[in-house]
Amino acid sequence: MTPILALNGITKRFGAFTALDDVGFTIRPGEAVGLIGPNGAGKTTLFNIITGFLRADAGSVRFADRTIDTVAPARRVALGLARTFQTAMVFPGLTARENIAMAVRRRAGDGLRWFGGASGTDAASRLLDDAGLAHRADTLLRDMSHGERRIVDALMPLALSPRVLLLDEPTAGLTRAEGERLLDILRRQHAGTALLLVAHDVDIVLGHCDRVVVMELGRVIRIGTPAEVRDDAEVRRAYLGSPGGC
Amino acid sequence: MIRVIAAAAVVALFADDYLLRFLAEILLFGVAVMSLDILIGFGGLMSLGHAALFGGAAYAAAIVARQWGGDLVLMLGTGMATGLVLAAVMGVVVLRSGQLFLLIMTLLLAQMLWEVAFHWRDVTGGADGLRGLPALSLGPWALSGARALFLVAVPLAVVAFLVARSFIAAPIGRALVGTREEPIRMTALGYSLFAVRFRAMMVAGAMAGAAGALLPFVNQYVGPQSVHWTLSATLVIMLVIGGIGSLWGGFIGSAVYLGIQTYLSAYTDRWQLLVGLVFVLTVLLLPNGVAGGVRRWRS
Ligand SMILES: Nc1ncnc2c1ncn2[C@@H]1O[C@H](COP(=O)(O)OP(=O)(O)O)[C@@H](O)[C@H]1O
Ligand SMILES: [Mg+2]
Repeated sequence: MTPILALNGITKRFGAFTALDDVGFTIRPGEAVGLIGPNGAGKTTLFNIITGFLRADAGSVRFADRTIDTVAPARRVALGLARTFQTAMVFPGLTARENIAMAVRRRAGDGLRWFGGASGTDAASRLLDDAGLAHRADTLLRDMSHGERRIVDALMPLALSPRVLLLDEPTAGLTRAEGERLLDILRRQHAGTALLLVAHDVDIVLGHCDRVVVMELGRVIRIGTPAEVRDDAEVRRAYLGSPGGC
Repeated sequence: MIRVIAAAAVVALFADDYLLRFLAEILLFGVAVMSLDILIGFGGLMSLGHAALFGGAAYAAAIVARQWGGDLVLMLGTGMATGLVLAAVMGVVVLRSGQLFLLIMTLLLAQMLWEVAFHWRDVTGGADGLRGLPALSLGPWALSGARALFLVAVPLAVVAFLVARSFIAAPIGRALVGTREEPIRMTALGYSLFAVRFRAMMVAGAMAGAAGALLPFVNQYVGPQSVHWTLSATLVIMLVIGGIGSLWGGFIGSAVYLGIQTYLSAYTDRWQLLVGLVFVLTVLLLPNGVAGGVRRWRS
């Protein structure tokens, strides 16, 4: 199957510091790929390049058989590439329903309509319902708990029905149970959406992903199935710590 | 709404010319402040050049009126077109930049218009401004008296308010609030920040332009101070006093400010001290302005 997302030779420097060095891998449609590596490995920087928030110094991003290096971030979303951020990016002064409806309307091509009321609230309610947050639909995001905010944060790009969804530590700050629940929701909602998942909790990544990419200091050091990665000596040394750790 | 119309009718019947003219001015300024609220309150776009849209439209209407007469439809069309064009220019220049730059750029662009108004004597009357305008008219009717002007200003204010409210409630208005709340998220949802903000700018421009077009007829004069940056600052002060993010607070703010200016300046030329005091007290005691205070008191 042709990949939906293909990275080739991505290199990014911040001054003299090389944050990404010749990074390349592919994601197939519907596949869940985990991305792990210690802090500073370059995971967030890679996300920013894939989604167009940063420009790479070298290399290219292909999405659905099209090179998108010069496509603006908002346009990439329209093509089917959605993301979350390492810190929750929500609209604090809007309710949970309004937060998600913003994405629903964009998806329906209704985001800039001049007249008539705001649509998308029904679909937003359904998504919240599904995520077990129906009772919080009318709560302002600023009044929600960290965990709830994280869920709304992840539901927003999901409401775009993207073809690839990039999740940058969506489970950060959540308990193991909350994290598992969030990923269950994500997987259940959209079996057809390919995922690129960054998480600190390696077990969550290994448990939910079809393949895992391991990065260290801006380089990909290993790509394999969860089982292969778990048993890889170099990965253990670089990231997973001593045998039996994590 | 019915109460507003009833109140306006009573006022129109019993108020004297001086008061009617003053109320009409409050309403026109209120519309301008409300349009600024769309940018600042709902879009988080801090503009210090709003007088350019309001006063620029006033100049355009006055110039056109001297040439072709003061037909109301022509005046409103001229004002809105001027507001739209100026807002479009401003939008293209400033909307891709950060907050501080936006503040400075709107200020500078507006001052450029002031330079034009001040120095292009043949067209704008220079420092003297333009006087001796024909009366406003609608078809065969002359709308020359204070009462007629008031009765034009009321529906303009009502329509402007309804348009503003509908804009804010529509998807485009929600998107504008989204760009204020978390612009990066909006981009990541596929919204073009520029597209959203530019539309808000256009609505604000058309609205301020429509109100500005009638200003020369209410004041029987238009001069360079109507495009000066201090008027832009005055509109911001009115907005803060009335209540940012409430739309109708703009009318309160303009009433308070113009009230102090009109009635106190007869006794002292230090009336701006009182405006300053009211401003500071509002910020300290009513962080969301008079409108916010009313909302809190009601709930
Ligand atoms: N805008 C930037 N300017 C300079 N250095 C940066 C910038 N963004 C990231 N870095 C550096 O690049 C490296 C990779 O960062 P990041 O992509 O955030 O890693 P990760 O998400 O894997 O923790 C880090 O050393 C970080 O300090
Ligand atoms: Mg990171």
